Amino acid sequence: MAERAVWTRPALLWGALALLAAGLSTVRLAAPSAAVPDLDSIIFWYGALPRMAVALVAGAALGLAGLLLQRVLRNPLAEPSTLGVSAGAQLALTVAALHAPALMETAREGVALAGGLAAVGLILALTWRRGLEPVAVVLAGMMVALTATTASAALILANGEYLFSLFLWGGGALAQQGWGPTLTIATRLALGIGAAVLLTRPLAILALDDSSARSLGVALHATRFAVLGVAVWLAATVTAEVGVIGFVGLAAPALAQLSGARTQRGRLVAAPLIGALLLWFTDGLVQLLAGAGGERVPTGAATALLGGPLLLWLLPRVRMFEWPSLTARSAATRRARHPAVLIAVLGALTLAAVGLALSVGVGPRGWTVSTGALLADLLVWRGPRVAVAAAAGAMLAAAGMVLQRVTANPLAGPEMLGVGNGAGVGLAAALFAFSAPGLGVQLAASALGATLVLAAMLGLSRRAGLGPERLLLAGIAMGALCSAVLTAVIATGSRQAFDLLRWLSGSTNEATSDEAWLCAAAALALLAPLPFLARWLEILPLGDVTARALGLPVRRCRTALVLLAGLLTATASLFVGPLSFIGLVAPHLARLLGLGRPPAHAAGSVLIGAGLMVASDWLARTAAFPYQLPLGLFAALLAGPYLIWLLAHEGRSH
Amino acid sequence: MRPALYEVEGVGFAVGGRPIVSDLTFRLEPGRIHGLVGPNGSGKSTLIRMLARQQAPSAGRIRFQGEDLRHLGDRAFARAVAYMPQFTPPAESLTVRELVALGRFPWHGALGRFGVEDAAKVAEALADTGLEPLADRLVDSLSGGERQRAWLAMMIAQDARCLLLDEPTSALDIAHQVDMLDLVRTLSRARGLGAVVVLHDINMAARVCDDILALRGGRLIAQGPPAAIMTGEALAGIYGIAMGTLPHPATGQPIGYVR
Repeated sequence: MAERAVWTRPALLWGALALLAAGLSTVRLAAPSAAVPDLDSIIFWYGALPRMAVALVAGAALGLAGLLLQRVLRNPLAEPSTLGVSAGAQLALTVAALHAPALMETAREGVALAGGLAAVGLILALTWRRGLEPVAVVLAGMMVALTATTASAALILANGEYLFSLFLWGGGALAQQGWGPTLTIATRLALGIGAAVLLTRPLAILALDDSSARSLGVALHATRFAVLGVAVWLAATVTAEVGVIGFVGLAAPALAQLSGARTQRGRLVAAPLIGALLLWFTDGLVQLLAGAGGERVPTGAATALLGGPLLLWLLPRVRMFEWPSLTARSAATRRARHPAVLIAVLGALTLAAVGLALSVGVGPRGWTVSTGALLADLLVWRGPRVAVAAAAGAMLAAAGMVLQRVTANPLAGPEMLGVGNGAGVGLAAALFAFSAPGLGVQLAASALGATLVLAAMLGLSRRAGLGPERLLLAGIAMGALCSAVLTAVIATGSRQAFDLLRWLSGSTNEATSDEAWLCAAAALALLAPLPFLARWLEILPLGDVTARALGLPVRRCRTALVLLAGLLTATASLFVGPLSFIGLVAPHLARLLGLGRPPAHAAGSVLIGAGLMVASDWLARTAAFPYQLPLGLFAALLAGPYLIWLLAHEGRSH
Repeated sequence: MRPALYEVEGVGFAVGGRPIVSDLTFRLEPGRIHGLVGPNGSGKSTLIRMLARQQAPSAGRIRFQGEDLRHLGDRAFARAVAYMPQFTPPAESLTVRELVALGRFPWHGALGRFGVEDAAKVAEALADTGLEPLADRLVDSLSGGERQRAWLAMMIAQDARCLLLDEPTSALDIAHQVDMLDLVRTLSRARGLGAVVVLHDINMAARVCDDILALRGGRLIAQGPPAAIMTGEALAGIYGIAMGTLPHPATGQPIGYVR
């Protein structure tokens, strides 16, 4: 009796949701659209009905893929979008659309699968040494996904409006003009379910740890790769047919578990069903809203909008992380014997980067080193962008250094905590609220967005008692949430959308001298307080208890520092976009070089950040001359590999 | 009569309506070592956290040297009382000397100069804890016992009147336990410091402390010198199992054992 009661309530709930989704669809289907009855029936049979069907099968496929991935990686946060499958597939499709359009006709699914497998393979290879530890896997996944997404955005931007529809598709648009995609996904889903049923027993054993699984006689790696292959295939097919749809794969298995599906078999049934329902319902809502406003919001963006808060809600409730902590390091870090000398060297290197960026360039006749009068002429063009890059890099690095110390988390950074994307949401709000917002308004709006996100993250981590790892995951969820808002805004295709897309990929191409002055002044003003905060920054990493025992007004310090970090990030990301990883990598490098005390750490981080950003800017300008590539992409490409190396390297010390 | 180090009046602490400790009333004398003992979950850590102002009591009042704890400023309180939590955090990329120097924060604040007197206090704390040879090592590269001593040195540099230690020996082997507690005792005697130490091992507490407070189920069930606590009857009352004592073969002090 009791068991039945456990089952009935969730079943009723899901039934109600199904009814609601069905109701939404009926409203859509029954809506009289054209005066011509024939057209009506064509729209019904080849537009509305397939759309419903594709939502159902795609949702089910993603639910199943998520379940398999979570099971096989023993990671409750694994799903196609956190593992970079979708982003990898999207990048592969974008590249194919540009360079081998024929492939898009004949082997669309194959291209997507190749991209997805490449992304997963990369992530697994990077985190293999850490025993596929969940946090490392998700972090590596996020990095791969972000880099792939930025690369796709850059390609789309470089090719103008021609590819704008590709971006729309990238957001997961479910509009259908036939039954083809539905059938494709449905057959893959059937095959996937078959494979999953065959693998039920090994799967149940894989949920144990490796050694017990091996001692029970499971061919560990073969099973693991087989299951991974099936899951990636399912997800890549969905991506190829309808685009990136995030969070369904994450939410469906989690909700199945919360609804009381405890056995392996129960979850295999429940997760796809719930996934199908979720996507159907979301799509119904999107169509309802689209009917009202007439704007094209991709369903994929809407699922992220629903899924982000869900992930935040799940984090304190999910049991996980019995792995050794990322932050618990056995070997102590090195300390430089002469920090002042080291800082001087870093300063010289940064100056050299600035000199290089100002004087060396690529022209129609190859590489040129300009001096004298030519340099003076070029300075008008190159000066502002170099200044903006240096100031932004310095600010991001300082923000990262402050955040790493306040949270006592070496992996914290403005990018990791979703602060950059928060600034983007603020910027989007300003772009829509004012017809032509000036730089000051934009700055204020992004600062507000960034600070709100940061405050929310820290409030959440304090209330739920999130450790460093969970804080990062919460940051990833928050970042996904904000970027879903941005995707939805960009998908409207308005004038503001192009402004945002340009901001997203981070570009200094059009930096004016006014902007350069503003950026430099902001950097100076915001970096000036750092030397006076050194003692706070030295004590806070020891934790609240010690800080309080030493008489530090913990709450006030924290608020002030978080506000400062939010302002720094917002100002910098207004000029160079949200994705760069500079804020994460620069303080890390400074520490690795042996700059441990706050003043030296701050100086080193700022110099490294400025130098890296100027170097990225120079690369962005010269690498693909005459085209100017987005700065954010290059900064991510410079910093991403280091971060990935770090994840792999840290595993060795355990 | 000198003013009491701590006066605790009717103090209680509850989480979600469930009392952790309730109705505690006692006084602690300056310059003496007070041991807090009791079974797991008896509220020892909660009590010492309230004394350290890490947690505010939900009922009652705590006075430190005659002043209500709530009315003391952050830094003023940190100049008077030093606290070491049960689990000391990792001190990544800090040397021992730098960690100990952090103990001077309550005196110089965020912007004040780290002066000659501060440097002298740090040197003194390093000397008193025997850490001079390790002063330039990174804290995280030390062994458990050495690390614990580095944190104690930081508390000494803080120049407080009272040390609060929450299970300072929980991660140490017996030799280092004795080493650590003897150091606390020596420092307390030499500088006239009051100390409150949470301890698991009743025999260790009897060996070091001048005064023992026994908690059980969130209530104070006994307070007195070790001689008064170390009886079979009192120990049975604290731990809820039959216990007895016998004299130490060398010192003659009573040792508790389980019957």
